[in-house]
Amino acid sequence: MENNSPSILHFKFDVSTFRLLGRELITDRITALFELVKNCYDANAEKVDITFDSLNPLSEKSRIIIRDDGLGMTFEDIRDKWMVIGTSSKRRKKTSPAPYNRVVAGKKGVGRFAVDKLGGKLVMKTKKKGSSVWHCLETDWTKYSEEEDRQLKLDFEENQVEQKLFTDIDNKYWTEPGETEVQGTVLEISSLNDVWLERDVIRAYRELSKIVRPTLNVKYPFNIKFHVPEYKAYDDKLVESLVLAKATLSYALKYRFDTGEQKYYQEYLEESKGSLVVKEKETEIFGPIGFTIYYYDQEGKKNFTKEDRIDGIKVYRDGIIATPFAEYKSSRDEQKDLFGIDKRRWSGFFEKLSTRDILGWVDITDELNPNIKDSTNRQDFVDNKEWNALQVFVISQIHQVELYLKHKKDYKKKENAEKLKNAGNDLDDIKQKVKRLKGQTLLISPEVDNELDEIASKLETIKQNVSASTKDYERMEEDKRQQENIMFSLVSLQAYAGQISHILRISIGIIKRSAEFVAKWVSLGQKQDKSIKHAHRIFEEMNNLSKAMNFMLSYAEDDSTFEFFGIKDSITELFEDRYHYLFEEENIKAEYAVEDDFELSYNKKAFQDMFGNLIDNSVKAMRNCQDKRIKCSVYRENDNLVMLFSDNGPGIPDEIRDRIFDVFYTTTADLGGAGLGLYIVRTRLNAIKGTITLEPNEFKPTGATFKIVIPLIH
Amino acid sequence: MDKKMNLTIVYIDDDKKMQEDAFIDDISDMVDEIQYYEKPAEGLAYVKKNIDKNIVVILDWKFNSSTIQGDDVLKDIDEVSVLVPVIVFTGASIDASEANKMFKGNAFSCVPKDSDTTALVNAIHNAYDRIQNDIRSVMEKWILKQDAEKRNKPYMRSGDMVYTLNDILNSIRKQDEFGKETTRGILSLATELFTNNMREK
Repeated sequence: MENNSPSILHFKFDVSTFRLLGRELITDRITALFELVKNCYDANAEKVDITFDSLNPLSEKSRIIIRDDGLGMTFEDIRDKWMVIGTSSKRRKKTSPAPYNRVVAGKKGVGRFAVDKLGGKLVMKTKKKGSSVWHCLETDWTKYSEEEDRQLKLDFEENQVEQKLFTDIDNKYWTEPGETEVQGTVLEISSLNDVWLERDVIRAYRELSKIVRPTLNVKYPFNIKFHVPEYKAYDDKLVESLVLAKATLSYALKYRFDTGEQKYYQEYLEESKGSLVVKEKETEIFGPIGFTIYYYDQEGKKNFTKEDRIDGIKVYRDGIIATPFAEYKSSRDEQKDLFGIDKRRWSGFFEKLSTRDILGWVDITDELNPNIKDSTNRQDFVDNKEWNALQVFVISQIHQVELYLKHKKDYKKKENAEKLKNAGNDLDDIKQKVKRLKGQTLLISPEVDNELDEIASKLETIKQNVSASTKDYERMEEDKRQQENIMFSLVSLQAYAGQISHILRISIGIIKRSAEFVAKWVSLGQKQDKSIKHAHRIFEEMNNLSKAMNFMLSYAEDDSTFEFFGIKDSITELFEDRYHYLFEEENIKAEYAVEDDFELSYNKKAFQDMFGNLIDNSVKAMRNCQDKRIKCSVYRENDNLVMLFSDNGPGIPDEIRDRIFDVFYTTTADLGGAGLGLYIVRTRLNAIKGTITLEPNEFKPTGATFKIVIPLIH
Repeated sequence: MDKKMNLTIVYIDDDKKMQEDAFIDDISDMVDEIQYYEKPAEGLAYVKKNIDKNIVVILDWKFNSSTIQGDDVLKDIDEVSVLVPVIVFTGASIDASEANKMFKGNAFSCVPKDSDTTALVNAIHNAYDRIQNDIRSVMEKWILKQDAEKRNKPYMRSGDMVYTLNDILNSIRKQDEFGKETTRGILSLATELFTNNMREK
């Protein structure tokens, strides 16, 4: 096949460039392979085949062949680009030629030198579409090493202008005939430097899987296939993006056109009894779309590097990203949350997925979704009813995934518990049957009868084991629930930490400015009244800070672990010991009634602190009242513990009813209220899936009544 | 002692306890008046009604009690007049995206809530300087000095349009196209006059 007139081409380079690029940047062979495949990607290849032949032991036959169907090179490309080291036409252009417009992956034009890391000899064949010949080039890298040694011995000082620094190494060049339609480049590397063990191939596979980016638009796929006859697990194996392969859940919703009805039908997800079902309905006003969603749990997220981030849902129009902002941004904050996925998190902390949990894309087309339009600044979509409907659709689909995740666990647990229980019943059935058999003395020989006795006794043992296991299982479930409770407390603490820093900043500012005021005016002997006022203010703010600190500490202290304690004892302790003195001093008639006593698994101190907060609030609210009363009643309602807490103070005005649980909200700032109390109560209750609400006042004509509900099985 | 400023401070913050903050007592002698508003809408109404005064707004950023947030208020003030400097006074941590909202909304500066009064006073002085020195504010003040009748009479023609002084005032405050053009024109003219004077010397 060789052309009759092989000629010679020369590489142009100097020693330092060669060392730098060939040896120092490409530190290992996996990186080398990675760089070569990046070159294929940048050349708009859709398919790369990598063949590893005779890797272990090395022989004359050992080869690594990288074959792509990319754009290929012309003779001029080879001569002026490939052969000149350190040039990089890629660096000037940030994207590959249209219509692919791939963001160029290769760096600094070092890919070709990666070959050196892999083997001593290269045969490259490359061809552009339309050309009838393959350009072939053979390079023997061992010669470069010799030249390198020679150049390194040159005296640089004395030979500053000596052009011998640049070398002329012979490279055999020839052409071979080829079909005009075919394009691509083949790199055949031989004289391999190292043996490739299976684990090296696995590493190469893992690294290469990162090139296949999850957000790669699907119109122009990029597939890498391994051919490794020696290691069967990796022979003819498509390199899949690990990131996508490791998704915990993935769904690709499509649409179809019904020719009979002349209508488009859209697939959508619906959660039902712990499973997620793909259903179909008529398309909505935004038109038919493709919707791909991947969900990652903690395990799935481990596969992500910093570059391959999980970053929510993007919109592609005809395969091209529709809004530039959705492209790679170094800071998450700069990324726009197109569908408002994260905004929802404020309304429910635990069950909502965020853009850090899901990855996906909505595929739209100009033709089928004409009303989903980019706004003029390309920062967003035009806010019309079609776009709004699309947002609603995407959010509703995410919600179905959330429901599924939530229910799946519960159903699975129930199912397992049910199975264990059934196993016990089945055993009883069998025992009955054995008993019946034993009764039929005519049919049963003494030997069989003995056997049956043994079976019956073994069955009894198994049954005991099963019932012990069931108990173990229940105990484990209980342990797990407690662990979850602790975790919820920690998460709510995290949310609280964000708030507390806000409070601290404000408090510190207030103290600082008041102190500044006092220091300034007292020394001038002016504004004495105001100085006293601010001295007091410093004192009050310090108290607020202490309260905030104590609350934080109550989480941090050793006694913050969960324990079982009796509600009745705990409430009695509060009313009879902790607040007895205060009630007396304030002339408050305090009564409590615990109708049903329960054991609660919770942090006792936190539980008492909640009441402490309610009592503090009441005491403040009733400061100007005559006949002061506080009442606390505890009873059971279904599976919940209900506590009503009432005072006969002035009550809570309607206009602020919605705000009282907000952090910093206070009506008693003059009494040192920091607006923390009810917020803390609510936060802590939420952490154990409890609630607090404001109810119609028990005491008439005025007063406030709070209802606290804590699930007994939480 | 700092010279007293001919200035009204409008302080909008839903944290009631900030109404008693030392900075208010500290600067009360430095300015004409300090108006405190718990609700953004009420503060905005005051600004609208008293737009002819020298006003600096001190604005809380995160409002717990309302869906309206600092950036919304900034936008609203901008619509009344871009010439009112707004100092954001916040306990929230300001990251890039929050800072971006402030820049977009033409906030004059941002003072963290744990700052001392001096930092706030400096910000107020700077804002007051802008009111004094900004060519747009100077034009605004000049128009406000004219009597009401004169301000309602046609004053100039540009293209097919005839403008009264009040129209011009409004345009300058809103910095619409005509407002910007007028500002540029006055600036060029002033520069021209200034350099003419130099040449004559």
